[in-house]
Amino acid sequence: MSSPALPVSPPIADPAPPASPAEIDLSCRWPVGLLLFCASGWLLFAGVVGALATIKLHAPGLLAHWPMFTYGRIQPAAWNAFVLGFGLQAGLGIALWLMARLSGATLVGTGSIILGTLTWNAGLKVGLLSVLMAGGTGMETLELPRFAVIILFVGYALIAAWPLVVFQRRRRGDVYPSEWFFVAALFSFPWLYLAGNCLAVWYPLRGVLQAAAQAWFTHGLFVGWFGFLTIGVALYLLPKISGVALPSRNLAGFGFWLLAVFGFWGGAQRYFAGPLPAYLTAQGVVATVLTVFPMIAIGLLVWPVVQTSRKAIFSVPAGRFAVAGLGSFLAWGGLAAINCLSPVRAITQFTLAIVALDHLLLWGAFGLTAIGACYYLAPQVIGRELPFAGWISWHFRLATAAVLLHVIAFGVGGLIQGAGLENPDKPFIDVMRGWIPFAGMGTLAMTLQAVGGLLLFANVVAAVVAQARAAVVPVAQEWLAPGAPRAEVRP
Amino acid sequence: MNHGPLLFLGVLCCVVASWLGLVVGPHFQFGNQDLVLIEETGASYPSARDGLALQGAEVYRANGCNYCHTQQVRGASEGADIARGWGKRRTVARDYLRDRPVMLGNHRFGPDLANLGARQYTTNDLYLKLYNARLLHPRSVMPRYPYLFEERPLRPGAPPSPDALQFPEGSAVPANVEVIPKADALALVAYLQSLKSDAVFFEVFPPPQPPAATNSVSGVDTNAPALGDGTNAAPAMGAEAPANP
Repeated sequence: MSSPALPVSPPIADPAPPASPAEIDLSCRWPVGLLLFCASGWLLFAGVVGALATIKLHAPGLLAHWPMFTYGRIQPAAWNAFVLGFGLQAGLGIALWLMARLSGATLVGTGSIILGTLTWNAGLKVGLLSVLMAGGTGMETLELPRFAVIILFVGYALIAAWPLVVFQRRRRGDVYPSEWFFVAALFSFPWLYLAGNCLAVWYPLRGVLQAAAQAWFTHGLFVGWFGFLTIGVALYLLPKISGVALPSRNLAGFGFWLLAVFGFWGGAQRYFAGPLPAYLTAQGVVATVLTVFPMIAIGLLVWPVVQTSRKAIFSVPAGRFAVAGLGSFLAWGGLAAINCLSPVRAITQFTLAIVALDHLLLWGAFGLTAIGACYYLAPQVIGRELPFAGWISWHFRLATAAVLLHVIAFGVGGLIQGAGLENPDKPFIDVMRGWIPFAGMGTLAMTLQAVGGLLLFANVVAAVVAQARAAVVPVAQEWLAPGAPRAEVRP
Repeated sequence: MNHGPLLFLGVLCCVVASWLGLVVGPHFQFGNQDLVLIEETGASYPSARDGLALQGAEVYRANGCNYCHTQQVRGASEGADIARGWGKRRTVARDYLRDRPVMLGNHRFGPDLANLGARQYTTNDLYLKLYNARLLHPRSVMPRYPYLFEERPLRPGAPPSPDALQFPEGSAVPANVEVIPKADALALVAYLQSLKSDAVFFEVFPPPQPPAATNSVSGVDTNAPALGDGTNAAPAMGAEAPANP
């Protein structure tokens, strides 16, 4: 968004010519490769544990003797594994690589990023273990106990400082729109997570204000991390794959700022008709409806790109993933706006339909886009084609089918559940039995996601192993060759 | 928008503004809410929980009960919660002053629990629900929580423990085994019985119709408020107040 008042090309920190893509990829190899590896592992884990949690909805007796597998523990574990395991690490990995590529500067701080990734994973593992062993905080999306969250913060600081450093050392005058979204997301997350944890868990506010802080955090995370990254990645991938430029930089800026202004205000509608003051939930409704406008702007921005080069985009798996992901995001915006209107919300409140909406954003919008981006950047970062490239199309089919199935099943099941809850003459048990079949479809969807996660994980692991072999085997052969210097036996 | 600092400050303003508006502002508005004195009983509301119930709240949190059960009653115009007998009035911010953490819940895969303590469940009923909800309601979707109980063989000749669960007629529980609630189950049930958001004070007034109509529903978990619980009717409600039975 270059307004005439600003200089057209502002002073840049490093006037050297942009680094070559090969140089940048090489600088990203270890840190981004490690983040990708961990993220894909957590995607698989979240799929498996998510399937297990969904099974508990329709087969509550499963593993009932194990406190660890009770729904109230395994569901937050699955949720956090996706949000903090896959969502944060895939987002950071993609942001590191794209920031370096878009800024034309090589990645710096490699060791710190690797250390940060290991720290982050350690914190997440002890945190999830603690949730499974009765240590959850009881605040949705803020379940991890304090000691784990502190480890996560250390890890995040060690990683997320560097894309900002790269941004500051950029060698291109123009900042690409994706970079706005990445900078915003990288900055929003720590603020949201720290403020959310402080005010809802560590030093809780009084009474329902904890719920207000939690709702603010959750919605902020949805828009400020998952939403921003989805858009940022799609705005890079689609023009890149198709070779068609975005039609308007100003429209991108309009969408970005409107989303930043309205997006963070939508949280309180999660407690519609609850004990929060009505003006808070009303604020949430207004903000959620207004968020439709930036969504329209983003849609208008991307539509010409997709329209003019449909073939090129759909011929690359990452393009298909990005279109499906961005489509899910725009659908989420529209459905969230409809959902928060009070006649609709009176039906959907407390039902599976709310789960469906969250799923559409997390697994649909962000999940699809990020998986596509992982497939796109993995070969370039690892420096070798993925060994099972044929599986990528299958992963796309599995993941989109899973999102569609989950959202439709839980959406319809939620509406049936909500209509039943609203009818006081219908016995409560009948209402509960009514949505059981839809929960079964959710299990199928999560199983498909788990299988898809396995395809990505296997691809990444196999590529890393192949690359490591390619690096190690020649050296070993050289060392062990007949003519190689020998260590003679000494007298 | 080629200036990093400008971008940074803009996003900072957006996040901070929403934080001020949604968290800090409400905190200054009603963060200093205090207990309210119910004149009829002379007690302050919400009343403090005893130690066992506070431990029970920890068990409730640790097992994530709030992922299936809400603790919030919507007003009569916004949902059928009151008609279902889940409360006599909507819940308001003051009901949660003593909760830490506040576990409002977002999903109803089970009934609302904001007034569970006001419903006609015996302690044994609640234990049975936790041990195996299907013993009471064969079609229940609630998981079993056998790990909250100890199953031990009856000693021949010795009388059964007075703490053992009393099973309803015809339940398929082996005759030579008795089921004793563990400490967690004791605490959890104490907490569940302490859940009552039914006091009436100036902020809340009951809806125009008494929820007695729901007595016709024979389904479970729609129990009307307990009988003889009419001590809270405030005189300020005047003639429009529903006569509590």
